[in-house]
Amino acid sequence: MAPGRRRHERLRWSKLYTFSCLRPTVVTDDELPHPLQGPGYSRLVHCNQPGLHQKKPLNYCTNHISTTKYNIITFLPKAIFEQFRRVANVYFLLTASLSLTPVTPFSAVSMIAPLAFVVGLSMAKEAMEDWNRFVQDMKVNSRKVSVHNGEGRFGYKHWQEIRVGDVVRVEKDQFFPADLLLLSSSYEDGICYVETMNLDGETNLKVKRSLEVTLPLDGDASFRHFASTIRCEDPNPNLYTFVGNFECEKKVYALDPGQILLRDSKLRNTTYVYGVAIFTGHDSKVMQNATESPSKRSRIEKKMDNIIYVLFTFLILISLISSIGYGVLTKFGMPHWWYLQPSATSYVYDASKPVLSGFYHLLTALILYGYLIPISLYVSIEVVKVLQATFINQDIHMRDEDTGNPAQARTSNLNEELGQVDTILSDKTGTLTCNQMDFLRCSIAGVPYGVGSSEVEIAAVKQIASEVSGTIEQHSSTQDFWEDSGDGFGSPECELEVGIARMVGKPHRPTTKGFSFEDDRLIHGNWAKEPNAGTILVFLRVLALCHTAIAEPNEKTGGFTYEAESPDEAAFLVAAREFGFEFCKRTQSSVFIRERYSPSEDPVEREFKVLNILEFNSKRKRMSVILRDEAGQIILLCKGADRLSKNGRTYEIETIKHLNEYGEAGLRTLALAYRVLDESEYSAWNTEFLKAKTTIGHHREAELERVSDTIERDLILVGATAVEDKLQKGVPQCIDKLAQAGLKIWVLTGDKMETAINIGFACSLLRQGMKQICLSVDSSNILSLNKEKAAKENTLMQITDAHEMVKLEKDPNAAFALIIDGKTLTYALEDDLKNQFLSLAVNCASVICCRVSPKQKALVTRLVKEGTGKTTLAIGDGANDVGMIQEADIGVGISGVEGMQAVMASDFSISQFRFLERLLVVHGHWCYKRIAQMICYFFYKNIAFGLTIFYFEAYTGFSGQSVYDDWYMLLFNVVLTSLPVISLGVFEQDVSSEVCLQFPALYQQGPRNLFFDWYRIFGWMGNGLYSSIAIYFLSIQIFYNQAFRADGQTADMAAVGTSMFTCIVWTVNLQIVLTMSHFTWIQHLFVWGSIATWYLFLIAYGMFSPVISGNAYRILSEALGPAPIYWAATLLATLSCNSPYLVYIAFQRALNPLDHHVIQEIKHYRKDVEDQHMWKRERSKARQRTKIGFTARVDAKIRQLKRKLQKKVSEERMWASMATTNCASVEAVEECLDEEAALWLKVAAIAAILIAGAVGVAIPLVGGKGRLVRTDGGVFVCVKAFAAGVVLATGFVHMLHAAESSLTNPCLPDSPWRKFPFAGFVAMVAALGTLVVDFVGTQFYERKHQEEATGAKAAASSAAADLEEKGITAALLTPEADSAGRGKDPMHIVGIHAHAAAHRHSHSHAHGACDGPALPVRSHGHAHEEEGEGSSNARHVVVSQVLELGIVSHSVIIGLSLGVSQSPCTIRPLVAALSFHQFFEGFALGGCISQARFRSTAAAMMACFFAITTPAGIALGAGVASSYNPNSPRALVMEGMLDSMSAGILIYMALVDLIAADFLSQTMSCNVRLQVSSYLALFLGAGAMSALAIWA
Amino acid sequence: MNSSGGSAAGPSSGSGDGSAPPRRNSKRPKYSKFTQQELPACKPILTPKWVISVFTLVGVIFVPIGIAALMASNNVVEIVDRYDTECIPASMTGDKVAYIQNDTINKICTRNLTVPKDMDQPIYVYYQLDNFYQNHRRYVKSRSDAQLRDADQANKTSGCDPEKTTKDGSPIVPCGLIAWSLFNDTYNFTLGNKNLSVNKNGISWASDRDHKFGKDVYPKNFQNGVLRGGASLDPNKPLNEQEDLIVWMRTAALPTFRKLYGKIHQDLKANDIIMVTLENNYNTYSFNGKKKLVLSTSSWLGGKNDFLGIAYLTIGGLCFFLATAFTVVYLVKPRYWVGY
Repeated sequence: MAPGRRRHERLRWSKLYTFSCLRPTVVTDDELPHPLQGPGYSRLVHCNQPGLHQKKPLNYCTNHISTTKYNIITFLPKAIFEQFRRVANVYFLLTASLSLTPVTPFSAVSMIAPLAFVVGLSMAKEAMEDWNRFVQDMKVNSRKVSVHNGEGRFGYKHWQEIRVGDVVRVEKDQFFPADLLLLSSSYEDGICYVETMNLDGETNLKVKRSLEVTLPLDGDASFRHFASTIRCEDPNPNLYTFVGNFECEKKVYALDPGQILLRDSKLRNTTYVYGVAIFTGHDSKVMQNATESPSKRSRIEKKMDNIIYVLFTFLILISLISSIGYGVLTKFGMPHWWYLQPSATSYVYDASKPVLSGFYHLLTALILYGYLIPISLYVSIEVVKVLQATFINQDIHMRDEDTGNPAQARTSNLNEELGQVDTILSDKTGTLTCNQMDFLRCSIAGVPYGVGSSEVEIAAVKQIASEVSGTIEQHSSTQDFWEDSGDGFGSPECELEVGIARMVGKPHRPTTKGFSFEDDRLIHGNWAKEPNAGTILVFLRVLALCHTAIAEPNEKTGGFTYEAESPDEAAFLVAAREFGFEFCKRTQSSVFIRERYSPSEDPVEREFKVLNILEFNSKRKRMSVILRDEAGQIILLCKGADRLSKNGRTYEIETIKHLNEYGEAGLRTLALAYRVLDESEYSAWNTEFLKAKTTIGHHREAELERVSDTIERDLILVGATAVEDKLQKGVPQCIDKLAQAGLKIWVLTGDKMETAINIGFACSLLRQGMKQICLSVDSSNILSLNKEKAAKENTLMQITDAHEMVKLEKDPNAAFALIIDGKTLTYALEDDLKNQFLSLAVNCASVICCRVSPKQKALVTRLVKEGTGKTTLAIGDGANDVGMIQEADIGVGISGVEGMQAVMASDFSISQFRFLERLLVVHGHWCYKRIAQMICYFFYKNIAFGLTIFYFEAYTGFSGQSVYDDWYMLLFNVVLTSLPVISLGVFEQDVSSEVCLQFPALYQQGPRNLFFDWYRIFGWMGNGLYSSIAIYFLSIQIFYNQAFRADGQTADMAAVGTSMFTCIVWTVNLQIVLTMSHFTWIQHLFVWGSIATWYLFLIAYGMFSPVISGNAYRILSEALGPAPIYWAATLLATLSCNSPYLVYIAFQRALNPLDHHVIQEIKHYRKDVEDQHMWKRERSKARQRTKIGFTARVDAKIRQLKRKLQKKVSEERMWASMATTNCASVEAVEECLDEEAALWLKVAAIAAILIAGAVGVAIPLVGGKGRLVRTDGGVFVCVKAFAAGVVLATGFVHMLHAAESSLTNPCLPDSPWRKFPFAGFVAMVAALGTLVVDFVGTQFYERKHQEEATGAKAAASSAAADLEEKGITAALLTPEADSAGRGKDPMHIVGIHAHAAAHRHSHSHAHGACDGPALPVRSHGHAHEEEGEGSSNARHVVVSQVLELGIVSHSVIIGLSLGVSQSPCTIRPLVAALSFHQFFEGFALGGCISQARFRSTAAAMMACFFAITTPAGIALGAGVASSYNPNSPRALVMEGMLDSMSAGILIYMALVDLIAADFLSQTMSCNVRLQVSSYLALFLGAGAMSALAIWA
Repeated sequence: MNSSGGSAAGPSSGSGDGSAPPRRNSKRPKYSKFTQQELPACKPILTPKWVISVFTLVGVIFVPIGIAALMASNNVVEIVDRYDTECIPASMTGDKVAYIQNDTINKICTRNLTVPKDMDQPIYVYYQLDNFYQNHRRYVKSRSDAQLRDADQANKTSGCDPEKTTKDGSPIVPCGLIAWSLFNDTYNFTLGNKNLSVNKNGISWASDRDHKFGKDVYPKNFQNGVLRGGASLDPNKPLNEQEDLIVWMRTAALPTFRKLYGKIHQDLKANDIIMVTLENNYNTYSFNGKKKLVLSTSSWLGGKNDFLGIAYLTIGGLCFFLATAFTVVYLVKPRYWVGY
């Protein structure tokens, strides 16, 4: 480019610009150059003399950049170090190195080879990635730029060749190759425009200017003799500071950031600049700023670590078992095993040091069972993820047709995380909207112009139309409606296009980018005919004049291209041109516009002299220009935010109204105004302004602002503009789909609240009828002294109020939207408020945060991520989203218009928001399931294989010998099972991508983690365990010791091992066939190929020299192949291992199918084609209930209409409907559903209750036996009384009430259940029945006892007499002994007296005597006891058995009711309550049982039976939880009946057999102390048990 | 006016690299079914028909196999005789180890076996040892295949500890514990007064004889050490003819194992009484191992083992049951959309 070619355009902006272009001319006295001494300021740059920078102190780094992690030399050590930072790899390394010692069970190569393979593969991946980085770097490094070669000539050079001190010329739209000092530009005063989007995300252009002294250097030739030096700061990452001095011709000039052009920013709107490189390569600020993006790991991977820990524990456990076994066998067995020559052993087999040998064996075992922790898992996962990422990158449906950008998985380790996303946090501008402005409406002089509709409005209108049509149709048939909407979503694009075409209609001229205005009143010069033509003229002039843009003639079209600072401004200029006011030229002092009042006229070119430009800044929110028109009049033109209109006059009211309307329609608004200044006022102001301009120091800005404010007063409002911020294609549809998939969407935007709300409406995140909660603190209204504190309190109050409101809302369909602005968010994000804020936000259907800073975006993301513990996805396009993208679990960058910063920081990049749907719903879903199933399967196969080795150990004296050849084991993971599992991880599809999109609710399988919960994992592990057992023991039994072929040979270890291994290969490969549901030729090849490979390997291995193959020599061809038993064993083992899984999935499919099962079946039977009706209904059902999105809008509308309809009809049916709602509401009560937590709680509950019950029942039993609690002592009586109280309270308080409430449940039919008090009745019947049982049972036992007694007596009469005598003697020796029987004879009072008389023994002899405490019965002789206790014992037997019956039936029910609950909130208190409950009941029952003197086995059985019933009930309940409905009539009646029956039994037992028996007995009446304490215990027990009813 | 259409808006900061789009379009990847994950696939699902027919099929296949296996096993006639306890003179029962270690005592012992059923030739003679850890790691490793195969590699005794070399350092062939502990009981059978010849040829795998044990490898220094293990080998017979050794060298998988001793090529009738004259040399008393002599015929499945047949029958029966159960399940609870 010839120097100065565009000299005519050189403008001295400094004359116009107010703020930033003020040039501190030559250094004045008060602003001395920076002293630049000391550390940090040592850099010396010889400009234009790069040759001087070749010796040491000045030899700065080159401009070559490298972002690679490694180079050729460092790669090996560094990459290996990286690999062994993984704990698993260290373990494998350890085992591999141990394999070189004698403790190894395998050959060293079989340990080292897989590790080398795995590490090598990972390293290869690293190398690949690094290579890619290298290529990227090379691309950057080899960009070309024009550099001064000396002698005033410039030539192109690669970026990497630029040295410090080089003078470079950068042309328009090029990036700066290094940090440059701006010397001069194509503009006369050395300014240039720079776009820094890649650095800080700001989209507006920044102005840089050169020093005055370098201005003359504006041609290539002028650099021939240029030389100077720069002393400046050392490289640092601070983008906004720069300190340095420029020394030229002995003078020193201070440099500031305004002269520095940073690498990676772009030259805009300026033809060329000259600059000298100061910082090159890694010294440049942007490279100093580059941070490593945080490494993220997916949830599944984290969980996998836990599984690894579990397995590792297990591994250590079985290793310990085998080393202990080994130690023991070595100690006791080894000396006898002469064939091992125990006398000549090494340390590993030393029988004299079994502990040491055992320790060595532990190492052996750790290696031997290492197959439990699959080394290949890591590498397979890596491979699979890379391939998955490739599929994501290749997906044509996620490719933007316009830009050709595909989706890109930038990190491959988060693929499966895509399938588990719960919350999406989205940026607005550039993500939801295009950041493209269209001039759409305006209001001039109070009259609104423009009929064009924004996409927002189109969307709204379309939706309303659909809603109407939907409601009409829904009366006839709901399906039809769904069909419509469904079809609509099938082709959203086309519908949208049609919609736009219809609404915008008849484009009578080619539409112009940035201009969608339609109103014939204004275009084609028609405005002149309007009544307010004068005002319109001013309005249009403001549009055309009030800006800082530059017009460039466009050769192709003959028109002009405008280079403006912001898209709005460009839209205005285009609009002005369309209206006939074409901005055509800007000179140093003037702006030229061509005005054309009507199409026929020729345009008039007018010149306006620009006197001042008062730039836009965010504080004033307006910009103004002061011009002198051709008539010499001075006018101030101003455009600004709404606040401007406060100053307006005539059209204020209407304009404000229109501004609000436009705002509601989602448009960006600006108000336009002007003011005529008289000369004197202007010159007075201008002096002041100039003074302010030349102020030096930090006051300048404030000063300028103040001065500007003084002139921008008394403005006359002429109108307002409305510019549309266009939504990106497909955004509302995508949001709708994501909402149906159950995702929550938060919008975080820097925009103002109104705009954000408008976009919210456009995207269906908000809808009419949604309750909006706006949180904003207007600090100006707060009068308190401590504003911060007051504002915070205010925030808290608002949050609490809103929370209350949400809580109190009864309507399940009510939806809330939370809108919060940045300032309030500052408070809400503080530590003490954030949790409340989060819980409020989580309860709202949609959340919109406006005016948030990038940092707040990251904070909000962190809050959601950490507060909810769920997976978050952040999507954004700009540098301001980088924080949020890096913070979220998954960051998605939009590789669209704005810079690459977001993409560079992201984990995935897509080019349009709408591709997010496919990324999540299709790829996320697939990847999640693939990885989850793959990992589960991996553990399965390694457990199935690894454990067989363990079992075999037990048969080899735990010696560490493996039954398999080393090669088999080596091949197992590497060859024989690796490819099928990889194909599962890469190609598996449960349903096709279309179905995924049609059934968004399928996505929920991921967030709910259905495929990687502990149930699944343990299920798979259990399957592995089963398979290992089955294979091992079947093989062992089949090849036991007999001949295995007709030729009479017996099977040796090689034959058994090979056969077993064949079974394993078949089993695990068939298992994967059962797991997969999608078979392309690849899967077939891999699976069947793997099995075939095994046989091929066997043949090949068998053909090697026997020195290599050992006993496996010709094993298949000679030994096993011809033996039918080998094939029979394979068939048997394979099928028996796989059939349980087959049964499981068949049953699951039949009885409890998951969503995708049903869809698969429909597809399989082609029902979707045959039965459109059903298909549509299924599709409509398969949506996640959501409150946002278009569909939710329709639903809301339908509900609204239905409600109206219902109101009319249902007055008379109120009672009935109330009953049904009650019944339904009972079901909906469980709020905090969390199945996994509930499951853990249930497991805990089972343990807790089991222990409580067992302890409770054991205390009296053991105590009775161990004489800790004497069965008839005072303590025991008290305890029994306590137990009686417990039983009584259980009957009355717990069961009767429970029975009552179940039998009166509203879900039961009125008749007969609520017509009659069944609970009480059944209880009564049960009590009477108990009486009968009691009587009959006692009789029966007595008779039996008598028979036994007589038989026994006859047989051993002498012995009995002997014993009896001894007993009596013993009794005589102790004075109180004669009263011994008393305590054991309470029945005489209450029940069956007669039987006592039948016994000749005289334990009634002490009746009436109150003296002496009861003695332990055991002190009597055996015969005495037997005889004496016979009758009462029979009673006790009956009592305890009936009691057990009553308690147990109750226990089952309470266990069941706990088991079926899915809500941790209800379970938690229940666990505690039931534990106590069970403890008390157990205590009561235990007392009775111990009194009944069962044989210890029988007693233990009864105790155990009691102890396990509740846990069993819980387990049963947990098992049927999903299908069991506690509100079904059957369940209710069952529960009620059982409860009332046991209530009757228990009440009878408590009153008659326990309380009456004890309290009305002789003992009691004789002993006052015992009386008091018994009563106390009784009431205590009853009270305690009753109190438990509060919780349970 | 038209002319300016489409190019008017300034390249505001947002519009990016203007020249990029058309260039990138050329990068458009070719559609392929593979990359789009749309390869034709069969998607089998477990429909009721499949489930029921799979289980029925398995049942149909397994039950006959089971029956066949059971019948085969039943047709095998097996005589098992434990002789380690019987072949000890009554005076020595207290110290069996002393008995067996005392070379001076005559170890000959006679047993009479009754043939329960007709036995067709060939009748296989096995010895069965119990509680003998032939699968112990120390034992299994203690061999050298290279040495067995090649006379030149006699020095390759690396794994053979502790039976590697003699005291003076010359290698033992065959080295290692396995060979060292070779079984050395012998059996002679007489039926009536006719000697039943035991054929010891072909009791090992042909491949072992041909390729694993060398034709020109002769035992050297074998059983010359202080500790005597099991049998000695004829130093004039090459290893590949020492079939007892070849059989023994195939270590068994379990501590209870049988090994082929020889074959009797003569039919035996039911109730024939065979007299076995055996030399009870092998020490199993140290480790409480049993020794049994087994005479067995074979079927196509090998020896007598009912397990396979029973397992097949069980699984087959279970599959029939499952097929029925699933039929019931599908009848009771058909997929709800069936019938629409």
